[in-house]
Amino acid sequence: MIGSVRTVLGDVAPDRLGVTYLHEHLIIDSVLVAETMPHIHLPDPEEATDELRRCRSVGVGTVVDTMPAGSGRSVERLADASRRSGVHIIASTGMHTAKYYGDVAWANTEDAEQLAQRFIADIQVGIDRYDYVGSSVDRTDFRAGIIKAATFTAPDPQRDRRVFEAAVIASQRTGAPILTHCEAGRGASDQIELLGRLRMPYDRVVISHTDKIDDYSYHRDLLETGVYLEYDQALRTSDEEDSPTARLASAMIEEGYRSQLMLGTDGARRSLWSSLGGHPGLAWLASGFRRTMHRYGVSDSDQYALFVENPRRFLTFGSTEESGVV
Amino acid sequence: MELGTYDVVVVGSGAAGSSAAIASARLGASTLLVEKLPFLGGNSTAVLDTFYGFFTPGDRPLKVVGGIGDDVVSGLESSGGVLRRPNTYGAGTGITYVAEHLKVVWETMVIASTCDVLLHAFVQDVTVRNGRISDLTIATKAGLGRVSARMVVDASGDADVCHHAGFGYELAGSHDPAQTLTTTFRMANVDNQRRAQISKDDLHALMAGAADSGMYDLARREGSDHATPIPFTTATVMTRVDQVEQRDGRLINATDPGLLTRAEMEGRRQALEFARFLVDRVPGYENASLVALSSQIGLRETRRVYGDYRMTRDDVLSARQFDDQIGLCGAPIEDHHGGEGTGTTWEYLPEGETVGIPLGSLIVRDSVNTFVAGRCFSASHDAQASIRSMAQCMAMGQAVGTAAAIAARGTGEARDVDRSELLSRLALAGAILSIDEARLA
Repeated sequence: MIGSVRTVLGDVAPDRLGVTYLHEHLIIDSVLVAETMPHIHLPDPEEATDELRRCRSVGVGTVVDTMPAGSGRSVERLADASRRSGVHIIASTGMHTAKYYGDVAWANTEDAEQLAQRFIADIQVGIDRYDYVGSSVDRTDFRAGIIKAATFTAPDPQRDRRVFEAAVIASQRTGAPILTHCEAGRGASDQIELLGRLRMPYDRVVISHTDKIDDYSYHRDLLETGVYLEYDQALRTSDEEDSPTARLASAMIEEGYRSQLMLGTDGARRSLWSSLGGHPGLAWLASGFRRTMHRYGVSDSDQYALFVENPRRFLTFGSTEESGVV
Repeated sequence: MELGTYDVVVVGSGAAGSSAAIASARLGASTLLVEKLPFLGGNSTAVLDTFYGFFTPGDRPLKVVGGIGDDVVSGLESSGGVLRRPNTYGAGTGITYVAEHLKVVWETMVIASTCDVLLHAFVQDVTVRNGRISDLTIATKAGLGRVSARMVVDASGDADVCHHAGFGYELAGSHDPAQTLTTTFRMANVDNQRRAQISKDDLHALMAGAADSGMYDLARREGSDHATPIPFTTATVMTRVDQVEQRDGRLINATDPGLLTRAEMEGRRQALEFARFLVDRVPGYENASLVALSSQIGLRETRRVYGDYRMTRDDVLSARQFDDQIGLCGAPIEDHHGGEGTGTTWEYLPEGETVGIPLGSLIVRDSVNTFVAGRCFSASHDAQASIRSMAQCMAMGQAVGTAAAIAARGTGEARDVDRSELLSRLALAGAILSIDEARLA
């Protein structure tokens, strides 16, 4: 496994990934989401296939689906969409913010080691057909290739510690990288500090959504630690002429952080999918936003780093260790 | 005389070669662009003034070339403007520009890419060992010079590099009729509005009448003229010079020095005769004058190199797609017949379809480190007649320039270029690689 990338349909050589979107939502389906967040309810693999095909036509080779364990993930539908679209999909394990779980008992009660066992099984054996919310567990052959850990705007030290420690244990035992969710783009410094205390190597961590914060010193401080940052707010404005995300990316590249930046759409909202009649479509990131970044001085080589080289390096499974967690 | 050592040497600075050099240098490869004329652009500046191939023909045109081609068009738009005009022969929307502006646009883009350039520089010989070109001998004003290369792009149009290297090619005319040659010319002080009142067919009828009268020596009765971004001027594609002869029992074409010399003179003679006809007989030209001849006679095909893959007529007409395609072409097979006929024939792809241009047709079969791009790429006569448009030449050039830069950093072998890296880099540089992408736009 070391040296490969784990997609839902199997392990692939890193140089097969091509243009990679790092923070995507192709399938989101749970009773809770359907009732409380219908604007991000994405149950249909056919629609996902259609949207992915559009991405593929502009050169996208791989997407990372970032619904982790028990939060509305459906690995069979991801595998189906990947097979039909020809786009590699990397599935996630780990945990999202509390609002996706409601009263799911294990999510609220299990300790770090117990959670880690779920994550490790997702990565090494196969993701449960019922996503750990059914009455039994039935593992498929489709495995996770990345571990998600999320924090909310209001800190919950006990939960955050539990989830992040589980993520680090799973990463260190499997070699899988960690992707975090920063609610509203904030809290990244606390996440990094916590991961540091857990002795997680920063170059195996990507922090998502930080481009919601337009304070360049915040970004500079995060990047100085050695973590990757993932920018994914470009579709929200989809303005080819004026883009805070493109301006930010250009500035951070200018300051020498090119090898630590990656891109995604965070395209969970149905209103963003062109296959659902929305705008501008997930394909826009590699077409329209690519042009926008070019206008902001981000060269073809820079874009190759952000879209191909950095994801390839980051998503490749690293060495494992059995100890080192405090 | 030593002219330096480069990762990538591109020979010929036409639409293919300039695009190749820009793509290579943009990727950080040390790159030299070698041009025999005193300016860049090849046919795009020396002979023509319209890019075809950006759009598919038909009622719902799709834009099928992007990347460096887009940069060229936007450079032209900001320097003198372009005229987008539907092609009355059905080749798809053409983008007509001012060729003198394009010379500077190419120079600006090449300089910005940090590519080195030699003008007035004509390749005379190459050193080959085991299929690898190690250096090229170049005639310059100061005598013969030598340049060392890790990777070579033959974008010379006439496949001069492959000719000197002994790599296999087909001499146009040896199997199928060769495309004829055309000296273009421009007319000033044309009353364009008055000219627009007669149709293409009316013009052809006037040509036929003039030729039949015995008062005008017109080699062709189907030539065309078109408006340009400059008011009261037109440019023409009218003259027609055959290029194939048998001499001493063997076939020669426009790569023969004597034949080429005679063709240049014949093209200019014809141009003046067509201009005389226009002024005498065509509405709108009453007060017009010929103001410019093409810098050299326009060559459509002379040598077609054998690549790893050779594109065929069936590929084009069936709109075949390839796993390693680096660009698209929707243009019909446009055959300018030689010999007895005076006509040009057009055969179309299915409406809204395109054929892919595979990387294999750009890798020189007999070499390990040479790519080919532009009108001398690996194709049959028919396939080349579709894919030789300048927009496709730019797409081919961008692809091989990118591939050569990747190879120079790697093993130095054309066939070792990672296809996934090449296609990702091309996509991120704005190249259009699939018809689905064109339809999405």
